[in-house]
Amino acid sequence: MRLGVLAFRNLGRNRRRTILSLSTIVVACVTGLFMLSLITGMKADMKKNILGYYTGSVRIRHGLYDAYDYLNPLHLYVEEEAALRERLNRIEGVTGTVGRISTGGKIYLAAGGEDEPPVNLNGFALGIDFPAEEAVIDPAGLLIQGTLPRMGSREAAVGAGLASKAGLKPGDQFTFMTLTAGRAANAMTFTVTGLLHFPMGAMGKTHFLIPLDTMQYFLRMPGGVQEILVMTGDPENAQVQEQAIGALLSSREEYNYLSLTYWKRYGQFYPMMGVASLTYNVMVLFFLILGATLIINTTMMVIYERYREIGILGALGMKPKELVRLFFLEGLWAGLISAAAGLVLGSLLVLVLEKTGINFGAAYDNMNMEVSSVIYPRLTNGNVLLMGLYTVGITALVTLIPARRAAAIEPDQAIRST
Amino acid sequence: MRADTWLILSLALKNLMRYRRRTFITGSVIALGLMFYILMDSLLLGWFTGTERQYIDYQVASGRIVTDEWWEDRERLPLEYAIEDTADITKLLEERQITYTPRTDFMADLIFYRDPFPEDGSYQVAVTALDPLMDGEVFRLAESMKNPDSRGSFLQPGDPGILVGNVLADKLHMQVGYPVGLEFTTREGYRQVLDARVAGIIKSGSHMVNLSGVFISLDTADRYLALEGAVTGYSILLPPGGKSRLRELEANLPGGYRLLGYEEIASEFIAMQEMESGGMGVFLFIIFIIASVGVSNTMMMAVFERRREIGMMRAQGLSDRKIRVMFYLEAAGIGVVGALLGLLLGALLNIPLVNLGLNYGAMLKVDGDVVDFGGLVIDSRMKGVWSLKSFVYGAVFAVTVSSLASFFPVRRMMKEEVHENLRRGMG
Repeated sequence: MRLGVLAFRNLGRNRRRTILSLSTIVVACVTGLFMLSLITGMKADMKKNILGYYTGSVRIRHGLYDAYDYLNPLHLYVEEEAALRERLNRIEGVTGTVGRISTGGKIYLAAGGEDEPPVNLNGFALGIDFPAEEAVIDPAGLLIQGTLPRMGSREAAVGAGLASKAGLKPGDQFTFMTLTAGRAANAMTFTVTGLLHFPMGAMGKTHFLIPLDTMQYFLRMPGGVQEILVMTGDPENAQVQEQAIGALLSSREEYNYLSLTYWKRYGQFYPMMGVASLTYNVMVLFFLILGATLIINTTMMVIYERYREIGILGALGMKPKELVRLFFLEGLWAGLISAAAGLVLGSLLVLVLEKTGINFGAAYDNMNMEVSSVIYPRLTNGNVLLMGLYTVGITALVTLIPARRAAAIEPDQAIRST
Repeated sequence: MRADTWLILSLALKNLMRYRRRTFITGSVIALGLMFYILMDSLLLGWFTGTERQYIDYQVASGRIVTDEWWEDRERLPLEYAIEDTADITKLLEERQITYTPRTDFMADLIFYRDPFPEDGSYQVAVTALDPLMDGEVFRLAESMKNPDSRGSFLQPGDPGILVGNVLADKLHMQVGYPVGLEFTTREGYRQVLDARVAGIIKSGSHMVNLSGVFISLDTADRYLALEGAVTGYSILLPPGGKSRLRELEANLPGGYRLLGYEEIASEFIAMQEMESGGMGVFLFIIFIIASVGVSNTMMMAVFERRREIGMMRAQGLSDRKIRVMFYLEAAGIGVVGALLGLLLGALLNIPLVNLGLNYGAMLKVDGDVVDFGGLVIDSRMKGVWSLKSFVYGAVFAVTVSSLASFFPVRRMMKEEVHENLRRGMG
């Protein structure tokens, strides 16, 4: 205990040097906390997008549609979806289900002038049940202008990027041409009611939302949907519901053609996040070790400076082990102080960025990934704790390297030296 | 004067040697930072130049002439803004003996039916119509048919066949000879279907071509899209160093036309590139802060423990400027040690990076040659390159930062009076 006090006092002996050495650790700690928070934020963002836009906790599709989804084989759909959703809703832990249909096609716009040909561009229609989606993608929250389409109407809410590409604004009309479930060409004209801001930039440039019932009529898919997304209260542990749904589907012959996807196994990017996380941790440690070399340097200096003092302490009966402990404790204190400062500063930085977000739009908007254009880093207790442990641990451990030298000092020689 | 310079230099060197261990530790921080910079730069540069090569060989060449309206509306590949008066442009190019080839891009749906395909369906693609006889003069697509992994034959004039990138073909379970429908909108705005056949499946040196390329012959496109001879762009190829000819051509283009270069055509990739470079800049900045605080800390210790020595030298008449220079040199010496070590480590580790590459695809547990980040395709084995520039820049930067970091500690010492140096140095 007395050694601890002594070590703390020693830090104050050359305050300027202490501050300077610690400042690098603080910088490394702030950077580290930011990086861990960024990757946590990115992972949370991806999870949110996958749960909301791609699979829910569990997604149900026609088995063959799942296998050939890139071919957009609309004829392979989930039939009598209402009855199935009712059964799904009765499963314990399931908080809701929504049906969706999406399809690609061509958007035709009225000609600008008399002689001009009509303009066309590629787009994706996503038919959703607007009231039911409130708890899922929250369409009202995506609105940046105008209103949402009414169910049963030929109205559409258009992604802002698509709208600007096509020159559409609320009140305008466009015609969408695609293939029906029977693989016949069909077109329908929609009135734009509102503009949407999708979190994923690539989606905002291609997608528009229309009422699910209109979509079912348009694509000749009565009572059918392309996919059902099942929401659960606790997506992290939704394997229970996944198993229950699997049991339901295999127990009834009419559902044998369906297949399900658990959200954690969706796509290739979410599984990659584990590797990304690990890479970030390695980089954080690299920064800390880089900063900690300074501590080695300073401690070496300190031992040299206090050569005589160490000799006296030794002569007065302090054991070599205790001397090592003394310097180790100095390192520990240094680690604690810099971790405290670094964590406070880092937390402030992350808290600000949690509000403002970091815009990766330029890089991500052209990539069709489940990651949003704007990432909000997330400050979590786990990351703060981990970063604190990293900082204190590394700082204290590296002092052991020079501290062992203090133990090797011979008291008689040290006292005699000037 | 000369003798003084030598004295200062040798003093700085001796001081460095006096604290060998300290010099080494501080230097090693700089070395690690420099090594990190060299390796990252090697990988990023390898990626950038590799991708640039792919763009140039398969999409950009030396440049492409398009109309202003087409460029403004390029995202939807508008046929209505194609070049109508093609003779104006071709005459301009032929007068200058510039190699060129016409290409027309348009959006279409590939339509499949079960048997021979495993399932009915459609797939949105951007199709490039090219002149089978001229394209090879400018691009390397035709040449890629010689790749042993390419199948079938290249496009022929008058033949309604399509050429598909090998990765896309595999994904769609497509084989040479399969019938495919190609549905698109003509220049007049009407739906049109072309009953095509897969003429060839191509494995090229461009990931973009392999993953999403669909090509048809220009005369087929002309007929079915009702283009009446119009094309959306002319790609040109100039021998290396043809920058001035490019500018001359640009200046002589008629109004309403523009010449697009790599920067414009690959703007999305360049945005990505800037983002990556920016991210690396942030890392380097942090390393730079840590290293400079390290050097300035070391120099502060060096200055303070030699307080008395400094006082003595000043008392004996060595000018403050020279003492200052001596310390700067000492700090620069730490930078030099760090830089040499960093260059050595960087060069050693760069050897496997250049020759074998970094197989991060395996780290991400992705099969295949490429990792597809939703349209952004990167080799799963990233290879580094040798860049003298990054070695020189890195080393100069390390030495400069290192000498600058000693500025404040030295200045502080010099502010003290000589007697203060001597007296306080005693304790």
